[in-house]
Parts: sequence; C-alpha cells; structure tokens
Amino acid sequence: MSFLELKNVTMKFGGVTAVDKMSLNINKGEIFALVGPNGAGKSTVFNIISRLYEQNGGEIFFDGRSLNKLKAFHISRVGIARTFQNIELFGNATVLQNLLVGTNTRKTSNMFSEIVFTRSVRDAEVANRIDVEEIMDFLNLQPYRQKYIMGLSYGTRKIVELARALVLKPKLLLLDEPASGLSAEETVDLAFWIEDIKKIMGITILMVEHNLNLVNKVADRVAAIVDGKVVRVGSPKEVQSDPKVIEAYIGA
Amino acid sequence: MEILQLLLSGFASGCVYGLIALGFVLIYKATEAVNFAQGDMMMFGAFITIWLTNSDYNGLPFWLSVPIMMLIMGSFGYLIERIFLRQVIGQSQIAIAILTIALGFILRFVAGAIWGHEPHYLESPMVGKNIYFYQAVLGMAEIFVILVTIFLTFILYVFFARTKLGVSMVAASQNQLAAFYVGIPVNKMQSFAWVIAGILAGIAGMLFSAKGSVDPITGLLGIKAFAAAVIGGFGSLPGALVGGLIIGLIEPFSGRYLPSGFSHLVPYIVLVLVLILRPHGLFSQVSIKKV
Repeated sequence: MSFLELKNVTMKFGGVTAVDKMSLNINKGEIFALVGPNGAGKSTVFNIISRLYEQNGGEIFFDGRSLNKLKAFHISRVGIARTFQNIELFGNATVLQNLLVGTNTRKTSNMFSEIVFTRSVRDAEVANRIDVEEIMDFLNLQPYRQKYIMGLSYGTRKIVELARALVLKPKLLLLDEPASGLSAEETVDLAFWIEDIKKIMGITILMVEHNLNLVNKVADRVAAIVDGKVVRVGSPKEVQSDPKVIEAYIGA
Repeated sequence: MEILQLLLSGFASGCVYGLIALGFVLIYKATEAVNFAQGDMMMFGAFITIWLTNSDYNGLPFWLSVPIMMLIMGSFGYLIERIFLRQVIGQSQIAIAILTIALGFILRFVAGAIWGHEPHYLESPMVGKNIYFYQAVLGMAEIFVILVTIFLTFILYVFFARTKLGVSMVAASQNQLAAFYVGIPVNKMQSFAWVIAGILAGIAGMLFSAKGSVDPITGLLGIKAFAAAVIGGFGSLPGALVGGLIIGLIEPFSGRYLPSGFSHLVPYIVLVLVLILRPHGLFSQVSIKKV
C-alpha cells in the first residue's frame, strides 16, 4: 500500500463537483506535485487530506490508517503538517513563539507541573527549544527570532510557516503554493530547502504549485488535475508534454 | 483622607468592572463574538453566592460556597456555549449579539422569578468590618475585592503564559486555522473560554455582592464593563482590567467633585474620548489583516 492513498474521493459544494472520484497514490519519500489550472480542485484535495473539509465520498489512507474519522486538529498527531496559500500564523507573536507553539502538541505534562515548572517540564522545554533552534538554523530564520510576525515581509512569513510545519516533525508535509508571492531569489532557496527536507529529514512532500520551474526542479512525480479529475500522472516532463494537459492550460 | 477613601472605593468597583470586562474580552478573543449577557452572568453569580451563603437560604460557610459557586458558574458557561452558541457558529455577528442579549433578559427574569426583585445582601465575613487608617475608614469588603482581583490576575497570567491549555487558548484566539494544524482542538478552547468567562463572572458577582446590594437588574452594569473593555482595546486582557479600573476610579471622583448626575455620565464621556483619540483602545494590539 502506498504512503498516502486517495480512493475515489469526491467533494461537492452544492451542485459543483470540485473533486470527482479522484484516486492518487503517493509513495514514501517522494516529492509529489499537483498542478492544474485555477479552480481545478487542487486546494480542495489539500483541504480534504488535512481534514478541513469532509469529503462526500471515497476514502483516504495515510501510512496504513484511514483518515476519514479524524478532525483537523488530529492530523498533526498522525504525522501530517501543512502550510497555507495565504499564510496562517499567530500574528501577535514572535517567530520563536510561533515555532514553540508547534511543540505544544508534544507536551504530556499536567497543568500543576507546568505552573510550578518541575524538572521534567523544564527538560521537555529545553528539548523542544533545541528542535526549534535547529529548524531556525536550517531555514536561516535566526535573524528574525524575536521579531513579531506582523512586521515581517511576505516571503519571510512563508518560511516561518514552513518552519512551524517542520517543528511538528511530520512524516508527510503538505505545501499549498509554497512559492506564490516569493521573489525569484527566495524561490531558489525554497527549492534547495524542499530537496533537503526530503533528503535529510526523510519527509514525504505533497505540494500544489503553479511555478513550473520549481515543480520541474524538485518534483519526482506530478499529477495534472483538471475539473476535479486526474488527467495524467508522471514525471514533470511527461505531464507537461501531454496534449490533454496543454489543452487544459491553454483552453479549448 | 477623603481621597484615600475615594481611591479605595474606586479601585474596588473598578476591579468588578475589570473582571466583567475580562469576561467580555476572553470570549471575544476566543470566539470573535461579544457576550452581552456577561453582566447578567455576573448578577447570576452574585445571586448564587447569596443563595448558598445566606442563612435564610442554604447557610453554607462563605469559604465553601465560593468554590461551589465557581463550579456552578463554570458549568453554566460551558452549557451556554454548547447549547446556544454552537448553534449560531458561522452566523453573522448580529445573530450572536441578539442571542446573548436575549440570554441576558432570560437570566434577569429567571433571577427575578427565583429570588424576587428586592435587593439582596450577601452575609459575608467582611460585612460591616472596617480598618481605620489615620482618619480614613476603609471597608474590609473593598480591600477583599481588590486583593481577590490581584490574586486572580496573577493566576490568569500564569495560566496564559505557562500552561499548555492557556497557551493553546491564546494561539486559537490569534489564528484558528493555524491552531488546528499545530494540533489544538479549537472548539474545545472556545468552550473553555466560556467556562473561564462564567467563573470570572461568578467571582465578579461574588465580589460585587460582598460590597453592596444585588437585584436582578444589577447585571446592567455590564454596560459600564463593556465601556471598560472598549477603553482597554477589546482584545487585550490587561487592557480590560485597566479599563475597568479607569471607569471605577472616575465614578467616585466625579461623584464627589462634579455636579450631581455626572458620575453616571463621565465614564461614557471618557469612552467617547478614547474612541476619538485612540480608536483601537489604550492597549490595542493592532492586527489588521493585510491582504
């Protein structure tokens, strides 16, 4: 069984079928990209996998277990982290605080020991802090550690969101248009980081991306989605040369 | 010495306003809804304390009836959220405002039906006890109110700064989507905000009844607490307390030094001034989402 499997997943909004009996298989350790014109249903697929939406039909399996019954706040616990197209961070908090909140889920301490700050709580905090520092080093966020999110540039916020997803130590990382709004230079950095996340951290990545340069550079496999259906799955080159995909992009 | 007395009574009523305002802000931050019944929940807490403590009702010792009251008010806040507020999630702000205003009316009538409309007094251990400080007569009840509020502020600070639950609540209030994906059950946090707001309203009511009379329309002073929350920035917990203290202090001083009638008016004049000069409140954390 593949690492992430979508089986005949359907999502309807009123009379509109956004995702139509979609089946996809994503293997462990690969970078898989979803491409397609606007409104094709890519983000809907993302929101179904991350349980923001509940699909009308079909099933999703991750690492051998069904995700159907899970709620959005459970998925970080089963090993899935995600970022958002429009960046969702804690705006009135610093970069460091945003990342530390990510470690909050790991806490098993009770309220009393937290208030008196017992040794075990302190040790756990130290361990969490080390993880956060490592991720900040990895993504070059150290200069911004004490800065408030509200004062950061769009590109930096995007990286902070990526960092927060990594702090959760996911097995699967969902990136929703990671390059949108980034400068050319920032996109080059991002490509290296995505490759390192796969190679060094061993995290499987599923991403939605419009920037085909980035997709060509990092993706192992690509699925082209048109009108809620998978039109073609293959290497970036294969998919981009498929006449059906070209037709969907240019329009009939 | 007169000033000392005015200060004390101002601080004491300011603490009550501040605690109600804290309830407003807490619910607003957690659920983006304004609970206009917060003042009436305070009144209800006051009546429950009286009902538990006074000798013509249950006659429990004061120190026992306070935790029981907190338990009742906490459950009460939880049930209001589960039974009523969950139904209107996703509706417009107006729907929620009308719902909570209606809830306030219901609480007033229910309290009137159970306990009657005449003023009630709490038989607390502080009744009638005074401390003489030079020529000033300082009421024990008022000192008690201030000490409890300081203690409560400290507890809340530690809760929100140190504990997982507290940090999760702050996170969920800042960004619900982000909170979901770091594993925070946002719905539970919203219920919990109502629990805390219920307990806070209860404590505010207990403190209010410790220093004066209570009747079913006492809850209308929630409007002053609302003004306090707005002055504080409606989104800042310390701001709510400070706003409460400002309103509380203005009242006795304007009552003493301005023509009669002004003491009820001045808090709102200050509110209008704050809105004109600092529209986001004194302690605002300005966070307008830029697209």
